[in-house]
Amino acid sequence: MPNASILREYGRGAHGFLCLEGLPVLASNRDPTMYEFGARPSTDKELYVSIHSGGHTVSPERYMETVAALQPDLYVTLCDEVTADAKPKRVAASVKRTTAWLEACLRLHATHQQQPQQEQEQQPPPTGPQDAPQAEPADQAPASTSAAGAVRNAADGATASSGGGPLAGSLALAALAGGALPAERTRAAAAVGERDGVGGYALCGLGTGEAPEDRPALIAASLDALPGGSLDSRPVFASGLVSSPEELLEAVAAGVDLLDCAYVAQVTAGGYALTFPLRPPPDWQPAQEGTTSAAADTNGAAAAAAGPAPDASIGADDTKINLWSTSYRLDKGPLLPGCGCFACRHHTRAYTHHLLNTHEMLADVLLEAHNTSHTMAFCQAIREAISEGRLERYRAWFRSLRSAPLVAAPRRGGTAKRRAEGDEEAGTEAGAAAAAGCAAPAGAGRASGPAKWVRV
Amino acid sequence: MASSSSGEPLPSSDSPALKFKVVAAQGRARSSRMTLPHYTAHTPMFMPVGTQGSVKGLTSAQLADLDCHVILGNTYHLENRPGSELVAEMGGLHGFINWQRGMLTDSGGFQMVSLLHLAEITEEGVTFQSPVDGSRMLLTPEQSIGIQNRLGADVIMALDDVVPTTTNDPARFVEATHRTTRWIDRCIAAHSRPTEQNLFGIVQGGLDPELRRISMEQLVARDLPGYAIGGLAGGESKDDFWRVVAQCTAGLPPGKRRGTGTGASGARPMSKPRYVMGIGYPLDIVVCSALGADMFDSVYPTRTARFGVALVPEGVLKLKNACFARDYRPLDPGCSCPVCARGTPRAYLHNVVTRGLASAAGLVTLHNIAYTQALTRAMRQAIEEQRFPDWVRGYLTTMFPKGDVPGWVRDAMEVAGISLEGVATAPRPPAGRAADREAAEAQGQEGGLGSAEDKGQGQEGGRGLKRAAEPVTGSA
Repeated sequence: MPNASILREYGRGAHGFLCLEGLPVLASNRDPTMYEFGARPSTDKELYVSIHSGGHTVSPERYMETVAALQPDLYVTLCDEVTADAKPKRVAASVKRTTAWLEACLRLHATHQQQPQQEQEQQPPPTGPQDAPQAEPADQAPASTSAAGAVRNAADGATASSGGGPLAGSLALAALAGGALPAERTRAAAAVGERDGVGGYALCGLGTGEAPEDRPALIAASLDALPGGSLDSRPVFASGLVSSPEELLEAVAAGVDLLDCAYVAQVTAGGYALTFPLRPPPDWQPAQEGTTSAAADTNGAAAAAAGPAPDASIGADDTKINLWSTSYRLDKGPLLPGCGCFACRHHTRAYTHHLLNTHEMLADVLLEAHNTSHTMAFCQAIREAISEGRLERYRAWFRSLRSAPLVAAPRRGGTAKRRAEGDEEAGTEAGAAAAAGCAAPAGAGRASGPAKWVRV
Repeated sequence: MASSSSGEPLPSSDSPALKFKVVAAQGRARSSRMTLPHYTAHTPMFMPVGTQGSVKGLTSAQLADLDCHVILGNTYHLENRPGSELVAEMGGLHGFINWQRGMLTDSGGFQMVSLLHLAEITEEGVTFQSPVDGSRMLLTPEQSIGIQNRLGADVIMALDDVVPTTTNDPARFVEATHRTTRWIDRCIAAHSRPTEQNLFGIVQGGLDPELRRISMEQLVARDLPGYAIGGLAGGESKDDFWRVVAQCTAGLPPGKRRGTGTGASGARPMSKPRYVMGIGYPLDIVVCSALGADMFDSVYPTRTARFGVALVPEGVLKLKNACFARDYRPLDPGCSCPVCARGTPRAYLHNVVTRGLASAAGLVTLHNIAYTQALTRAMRQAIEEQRFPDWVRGYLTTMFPKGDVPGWVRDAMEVAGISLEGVATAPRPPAGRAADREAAEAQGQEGGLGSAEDKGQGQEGGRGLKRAAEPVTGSA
């Protein structure tokens, strides 16, 4: 993002600047598609980040100033994220800092809520490089049905009563740190608790090298430590933790409501089109009732739903195909037969292969359109399964499609029960990757409703 | 609608796969309908270039929304990848890229210039070294037409012997002019789909009026469905450029009255479409249209977009300039493209352009194509409403508010019969090296020729408006 003072001067926040009027915007603390974790240590006062314009230090003040300039619907509080392999001492420091920074962010939030914008403009612009590296507007679940929508409505109500400042309508998502250590995650979440001003939670530091099968336990360590009922009206966001559809599904099952675009960006960059089935056939039955690891049993119906076995020699697996493969040179079919997205309705696999082969930008545009559409449809299928009380069955079916499950069976039932109550909404893949940005809605939107693509 | 200032019947022509009908004319400018096998295109028109079967970053649906009537494909590049046999198997270029409107493929001849270091030209044809795998590929007139027949575009171009206008060897131009004629006969003989595809001849002759006259005479004698003016936009001065265009638009049908041979419109004078190759600067498009040209193509609007340069009525916006960091206006308030209609701030575009994000290229490309299509649409309307001279004066006033219209534009407008009184008020700017350099930049074709220097002309209002040419750097 540009200089926060530019956005402040502009005055219409990320919605106006990115031409996203009418779409909810989430300002995330990092962009999982682009930026690595800082190579240099942070301090208790400032976070060190390494981005396109070099290394920067970000204090809570500078961070919140940028968030205020973005005027997002939701934002993640400043977090000292560590990777999964961080040493316990480093993780403990990260938890301590993140907790202190939450305090600072919430205090500044209140200031920015009250402060009329004109006063802010009179403040001397902070010195030094002004990029706001950590502010990455992302997207979130469709407003109509989601819990996030309900929360936002509540926030809208709060706007009227507050001071009309730039953050008057924004919800703070408290960063939950703790690396890959369940005890630290529990400690961090307990410290956050239900304090005033926390509108939701953001699971930070996941997708950084921990084993996917350990992830549900880490998420549980964070969420279970929150006071009872605190999740009833607060959304949970997680950034960058998904690298397969199973992981998305399992993250939702573990209690995540909002996810960002990392997975779509990742598969698109590899020249892949997602092809996994979204719904079980009507007559599908679990092979062994009550056994959670039905995955190895490829019963007839599941095998049929999965279609012919993927050909690993052309880069495909049972979730996606690789359009770089020369086997698609003359393939007149769409990326995914039956898909209603723009790319599938208008173009062939052969054309997409040619575009990749000639390094045309349009290759990414088409793949991104399809992959975003497919992931959105996946989230829709998950939402349906939750609202119809059959998430467990859906997960069993989804696992049965794999010869080797990437995520082990669940270890706890609490969150699934919470799901079944229907009080939370499934997470939605957000954002778009490289080629998309604002260009996408111009023509590459998906068939069933506008794609919500945001990337800065 | 059909009207002309002189009151004479408007010209038309009827070829097996192309009906050309001038619906309005004013001075030398004309608005026409060109019915191709896939689409009825309105001219004057600008045709975006989709070198390898894709106009960079845009979908075919977006191109249709932007009111593009014909797009280009490059024979040489498409034969390299994916190959015309494959394209034919996929239903031709139209089916392969899913574009239902008009298409035009070049002959591969331009790559003689843009890839000269990889090409060797003999009487038989051109031998290229493939930049993809190093293999040698001989492109003869017969092969060029064979490839284009397989690609299946509505308009195919004859292989011509292109010599860069900057070449300092008169004998080479003479040879190229006559060889182009010899090759057109080989192209005509090789053309296997004359009722489905239109073979256009290309006038050569460098900057020599006599050679151009000979080339035109020889091509017109072959009664082709349309004619292109080739060998321009290659570094010649603007002064030379417009004179060649003026000579050729006057000399091509109906300049030389011939019987049409079509029964129904026998009373109408005959005319054929005129295509000036490689023209994409908005000012050049306007000047050539005023001189009677109908079709234009260039990678300029799309390539310059990728460098962060947006086309606007005042000239160009170089979005990388720091002055746009706090400019919250849309690119062009009068533009109806999706980018401007949503009010995308210039400050946002500055931010993404300076970071080189692909989405930035897509947004500015979208705007620039919308701009060229709106420009040609406005010209057609002005001609049909018989107010074209006024429109040209308005266009030049917006672009040159100080009245410093370049000398070559003044001269060309005089020949076009458009008075610039009250428009070109400032003293005539000096011609010469600056003008020539600008012309060299107009070359912005395949090879990424031209200089990277910015003449810094036309700074207006501190907003970084540059009327001058966009420097062309790098390659696609």
